Amino acid sequence: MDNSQKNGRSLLRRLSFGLIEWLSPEIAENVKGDLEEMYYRRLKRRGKLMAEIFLFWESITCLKLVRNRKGMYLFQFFDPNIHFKMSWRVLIKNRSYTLINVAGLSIGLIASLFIFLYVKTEHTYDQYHDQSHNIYRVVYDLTERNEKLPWAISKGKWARMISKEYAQVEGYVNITPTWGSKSLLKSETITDGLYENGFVWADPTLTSVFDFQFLAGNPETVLDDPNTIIISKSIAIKYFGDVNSAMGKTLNRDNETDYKVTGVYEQMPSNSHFHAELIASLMTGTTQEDRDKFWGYGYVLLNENADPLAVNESLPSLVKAHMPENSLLKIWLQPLEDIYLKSELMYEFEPVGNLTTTRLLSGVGVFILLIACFNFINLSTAYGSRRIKEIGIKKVLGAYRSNLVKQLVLESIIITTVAMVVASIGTYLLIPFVESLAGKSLDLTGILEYRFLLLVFGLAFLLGILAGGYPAFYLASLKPKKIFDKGHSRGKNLLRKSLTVFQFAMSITLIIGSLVIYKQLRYFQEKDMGMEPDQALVIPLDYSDNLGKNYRAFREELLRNPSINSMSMMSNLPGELIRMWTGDVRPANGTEEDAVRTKVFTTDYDFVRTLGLTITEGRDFSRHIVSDSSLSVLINKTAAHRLGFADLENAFISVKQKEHDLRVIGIVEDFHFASLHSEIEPLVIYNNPGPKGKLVVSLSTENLTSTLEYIGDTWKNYEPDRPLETFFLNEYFNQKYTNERNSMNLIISFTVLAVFIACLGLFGLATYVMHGRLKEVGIRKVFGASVVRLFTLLASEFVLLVLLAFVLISPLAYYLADLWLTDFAYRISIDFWIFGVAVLFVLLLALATVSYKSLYVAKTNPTKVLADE
Amino acid sequence: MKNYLGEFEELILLTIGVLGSEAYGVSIKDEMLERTSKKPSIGALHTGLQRLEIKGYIQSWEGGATAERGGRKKRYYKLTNLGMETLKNAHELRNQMFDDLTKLAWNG
Repeated sequence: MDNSQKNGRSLLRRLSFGLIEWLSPEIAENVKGDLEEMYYRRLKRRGKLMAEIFLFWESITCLKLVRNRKGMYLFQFFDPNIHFKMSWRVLIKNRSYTLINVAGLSIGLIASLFIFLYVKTEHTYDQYHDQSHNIYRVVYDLTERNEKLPWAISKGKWARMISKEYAQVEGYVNITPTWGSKSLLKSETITDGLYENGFVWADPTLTSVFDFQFLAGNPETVLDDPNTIIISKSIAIKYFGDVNSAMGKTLNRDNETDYKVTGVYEQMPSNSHFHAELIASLMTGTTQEDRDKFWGYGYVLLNENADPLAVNESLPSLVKAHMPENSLLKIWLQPLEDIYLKSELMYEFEPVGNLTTTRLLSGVGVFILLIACFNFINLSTAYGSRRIKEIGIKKVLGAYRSNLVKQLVLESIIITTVAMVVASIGTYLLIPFVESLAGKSLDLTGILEYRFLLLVFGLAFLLGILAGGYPAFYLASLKPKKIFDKGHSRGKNLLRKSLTVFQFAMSITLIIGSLVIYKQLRYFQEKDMGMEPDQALVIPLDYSDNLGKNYRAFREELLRNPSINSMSMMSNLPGELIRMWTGDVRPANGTEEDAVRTKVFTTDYDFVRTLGLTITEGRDFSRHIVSDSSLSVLINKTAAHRLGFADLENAFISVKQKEHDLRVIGIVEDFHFASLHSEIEPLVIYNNPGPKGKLVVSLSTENLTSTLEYIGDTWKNYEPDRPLETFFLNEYFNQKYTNERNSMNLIISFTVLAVFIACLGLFGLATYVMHGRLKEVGIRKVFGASVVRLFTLLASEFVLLVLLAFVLISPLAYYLADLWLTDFAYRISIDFWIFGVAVLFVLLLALATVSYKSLYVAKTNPTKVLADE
Repeated sequence: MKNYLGEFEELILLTIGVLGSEAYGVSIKDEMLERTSKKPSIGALHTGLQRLEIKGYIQSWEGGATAERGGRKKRYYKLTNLGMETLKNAHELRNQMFDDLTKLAWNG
């Protein structure tokens, strides 16, 4: 059969034929031929759908053809017509049981399918490039004073030199981003310009290393010339209407440079560690010397036979040859595929994923799947025991044990298969919802392939056999005499109880986990950052236009508005680590040994006021003191501590780059200028704003709208060629923790599901136990027990199970929570109350579930239950 | 009893015999449906065929391929001498017993 014919076949047909081949390989060809012939006949008579359904049905009947090694037919007495009919009747008769089972299973399956998809997506980052396993990023490892500083960025020359020196390296590309600032872009039609993220410069070699899907333009040469640019499809549509009309047109960036569009590419997939919307040629206005000095991200492409370890080992000698003797610089090659999930470097392109969170999520997925399966086993056994008499009668009438088992297992397989179908449809429908929860699109490649579906349904099949198997074998093996014996005991139900304890334990763990995550993120949002950025408006001035020159006048005019309290120009925002400088500082009277590595803010007057910082000692910069304009600095408390300044008397620091020592005029209370993930580092604040940076304006809460209008109007006077772009500082902070928030959303939603499923199982178990104790309760009632007393009696067993689960699982839950929290420098303590809340919640939920049944039992009229004795 | 035939097996043998040289999966199924209103599933039919072939009552060979079978060859079946004999035996046995039964009813 040729391939085209094969592909033309529907999924169901391929599934049917696959099934036949699997069941009866010896005569498969013959059977398939017959089926195909009947298929075409039915196709003519009854339409495609019916023909396919019949085909599938007939392929199931081939189960009869299965023989064991001795040639015995295993399903000799298997008549699918009868078995399915019987199963169907049983399942319809016990509607609530079927519903609970299907619901529990499909919810569990949906949840774990999604977690599977999410985790899979997290692991597929950057793998869409053809050569992804051969691409490496050149990264820095600066070790200074035993402090390791792994950097994702490197200078342009390294990637180029590595590619030149090593025969194993086939190519390189350097990509330079705009370091977090947006670019103003103008086209013929959009003359006012729009601000865009995702503008980068790249070497012309870009397309030989990375894969782009070009919709227009010649991939080989697109970036060869200076002032050329390639843009994504959405940018092309936004600025030029459509892909083809974009070609050859001009885009202007920041009122400075014109770029000619030479190519349009399909949007980069979401599972990429960076997302460039516009890629300009790095050749634009630069020499090789310039490009060597540029900071950016360098990538090299190794050939298929290269040994990356060997290259890494020989890199120090390359560094030695090109750097001063005492350089501490270390360079190594980081696999492209490790960037997103398996590295923690500073100055990443975009926030990266977190392996611990991903693992925790996988754990949650496994938990949910287990809870759902245990549930299923519990319910099957519980309801199976109701059918004990049916089975007894069948046995007396001569049913084979194997046939009883097959019947019960078939019922269970029907349930799992239906649940799987429901789950697949549910998953498909819920994809947009989960994508919005996760904040990213899921990698769906391959899930509609016949092999994946076969795997999923194989899994359903297996689950059906395993989960249905235990009750089936147990029930079918009972001796009829024993079944009808009055004294038949139902045993200790150890398995059921341990499964329940397990379910409780997992639910408790999930709840504890969710609470810890929730609390940590609340802590993030409410933590005293050491500053009060509530009404701080940010105006990015990352460019040198008119405003850079007229800044002073602009500032004076803004301050004339009474609702504008203060403003300050800063080299970077708090949290904007990628733009922050680092420098060595030592006390003026100290030696090189005493030097401290500090972070640097360059800013101007009113920095302290605008961000709402507190000065613990000394004073802020003052306009009235001349020396403050260049010879004074502020430091934070950590810096003061590290530099050994107990007070400000004679507190001078000296910096390599400056001739004069600088006077420390004030100490600022520590504030979180980097990230809550890392500890507060020493900080020096210079009063020396450059023309570029971020202008932070502190506004009063009143008349906010009119104040914003005023700022807009003033802006137009100074910067007519540029639309105003602003955002609030606290929004910016919130965004920094999007990753955590997304994983919290996921974990909490899935926890709710897991607990819900566990409750379903509990309900089943309660039903089972209660029915077994009807008579006991009846007798107790006759002897005068009250409903409350009986309820306590019945419910206490479950309370014990919950408590047992809690005791068993607490240490593990604590360990896992602690593991997750180690990623945060500023973290909550895992309080006792979290455990208390979790166990109480599960206890209440369990009681609520159980009480429904136990109250029913406790209120039953004893004459009813005792009548048949 | 040696050479015992189940009811369904006997039916298959008879159908194959009736069909002569045109007996293959689908035609056997059709014939059965026409004559007895019985509609065996493909699995059941092929289990029966397999069983009968192992027992040596029928033999099979591959015929020509047709487009309506997706290019697959038909497998034709015919009765072997042993098969024919077994059928006869079953028939005789039944006739014998039926005769005895009617005699008994008549004379009884």
